[in-house]
Amino acid sequence: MTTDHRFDALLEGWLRAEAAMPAPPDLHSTAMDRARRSRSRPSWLAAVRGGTAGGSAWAMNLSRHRVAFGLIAAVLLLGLLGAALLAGAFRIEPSPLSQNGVIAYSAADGPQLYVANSIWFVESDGSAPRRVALGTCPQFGQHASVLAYTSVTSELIVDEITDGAVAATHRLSGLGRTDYALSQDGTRVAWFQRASPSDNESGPTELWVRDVAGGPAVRIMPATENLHEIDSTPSWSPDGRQIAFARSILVDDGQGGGTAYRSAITLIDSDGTDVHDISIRMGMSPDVSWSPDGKWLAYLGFADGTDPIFGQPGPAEETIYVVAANGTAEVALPNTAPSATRPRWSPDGSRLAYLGIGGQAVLTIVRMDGGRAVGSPVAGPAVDSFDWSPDGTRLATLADTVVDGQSTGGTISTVDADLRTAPVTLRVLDGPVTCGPTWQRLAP
Amino acid sequence: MLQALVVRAQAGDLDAFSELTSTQTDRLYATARLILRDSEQAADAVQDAFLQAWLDIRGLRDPERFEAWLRRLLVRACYRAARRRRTREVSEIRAGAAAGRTTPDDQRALAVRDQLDRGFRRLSPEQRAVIVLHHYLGLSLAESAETLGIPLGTMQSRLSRATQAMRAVLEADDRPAGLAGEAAR
Repeated sequence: MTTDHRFDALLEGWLRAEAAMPAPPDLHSTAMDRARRSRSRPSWLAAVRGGTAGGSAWAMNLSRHRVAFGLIAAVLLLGLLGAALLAGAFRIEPSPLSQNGVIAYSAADGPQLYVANSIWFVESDGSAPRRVALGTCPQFGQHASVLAYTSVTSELIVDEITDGAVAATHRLSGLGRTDYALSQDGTRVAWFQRASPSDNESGPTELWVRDVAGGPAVRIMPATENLHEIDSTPSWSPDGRQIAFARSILVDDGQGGGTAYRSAITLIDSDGTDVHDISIRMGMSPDVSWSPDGKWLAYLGFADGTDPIFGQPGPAEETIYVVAANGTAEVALPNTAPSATRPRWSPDGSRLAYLGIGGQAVLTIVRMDGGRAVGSPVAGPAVDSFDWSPDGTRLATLADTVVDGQSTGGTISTVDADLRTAPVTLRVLDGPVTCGPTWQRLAP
Repeated sequence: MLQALVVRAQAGDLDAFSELTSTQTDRLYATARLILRDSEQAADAVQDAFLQAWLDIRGLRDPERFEAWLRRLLVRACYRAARRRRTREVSEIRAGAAAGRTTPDDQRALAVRDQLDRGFRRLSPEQRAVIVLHHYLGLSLAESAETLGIPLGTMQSRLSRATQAMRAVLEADDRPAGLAGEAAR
């Protein structure tokens, strides 16, 4: 997550300068020569042929055995798959959604299935895991009426759910794989896109909105003329009337003619009117979370102080801030870790959960009274993502298993909202978990 | 166009595969150089990724995802190269700025570049990959997570940790007071 646009701008400029060196002129041709020599053999056959390269009789016999064994295994596997398909075991069901609070996530099914993630549901007690669709990054609407996810063809799919079944499916193309925001009633999406689609490195952004059920996309905020403005991560208010986002812009740094990135949490009415900042800091996270009553916003910001990089007055420590939607009563929550990310209000607004970032990401929860913390935050298990249960008494978590930098699996668990009891493991997954968990809201 | 080339390559057409990859070489090489901080290792990683792609292209289910798939193969090749390198750490020293008179602004820019370079080198390859995908290639968090084969939440926390680690490294660097403060201008 971007946490300081000024630092990010410097970093991105440096990365581009560092990357300016072209590839060696013979790199591609050499690679193609290697490919040609490989003769495009399938990897299993390549392994077998590699075994015969030495020419020993033992290797030849081993190779033959490997081939024979492979063929027998393949026939058996096909038979099993056929039987399973006939029995319906691997059939992709048409989203058999239950009424009450399933937990969803997306996962790859095997090493080559990177391009074919599946959406999975599991009941909150860990029972009845089932694959419901091909796609990734499921997201339930806050009012239980929709499930949104990205299809294998990068469309945004929004399933309307009535009586536990899919009543209608909407397919939205043209969003690409951008980080869209689904309104809390699931009827609209908002997203930022570059004013010039061909320029993916810099330039101002526009804010767009469209109805899930159809109709044209509407640009509710045009790009500004300031090429250094960065707007990101829209977040709908609970009543759908406003969208909050983070805006970073170059301003006079007050130090004698210099400039610095200053960020704001900005609100805009969903019809594009009344754009105004409610909080301004030297740097802040674009990840904004509305309280359920729409009165408060939580975000990650930098405390005023000395910038650790530039030695100037500016962002210092990061912490979670809460500010009223009218821009008043901004407070910093007490720190339990050097940094934090992903603040999320509980459905009843009585708690705020976030990931405390130190040597690892730790689920952290603080009780709230409106916009003020009550007591100290409580740190829980190390997790990588989480979502609240519909009644706010538990959280679903994902702890990722990473080996050599690659996700090899994950553990889906639930834990109580007071972090007093040990997490309950729902599923231990062998393959990479790509998104989730997200917990279905109860029907209103 | 891209889809047709992928389908041809999947049928064993090396010319199609060559055409598919020729336009990717510079960007993949730049990505690998940033992750590995070593030109030779980066070239090897790109070659490995190309070869792996050629051998496995029949397993690619959605031709439109070829570029994302190739990026993922490259990152994996970089991780393998980094593991090999741990036994023989190589430090690549780039030539400095062009000779000639430098202005105070040039010197300040060089100082910042040096700070960023030192901070970036001290990150792990996994941390560098997170930063490179998001901040250099301009991928969204979701795209970056998919490329790295990690959950979105992991990507967010890993990026936050990488940025925090770089800040900590930079903060720990001894530098003339006030010098870096000019850098943002």
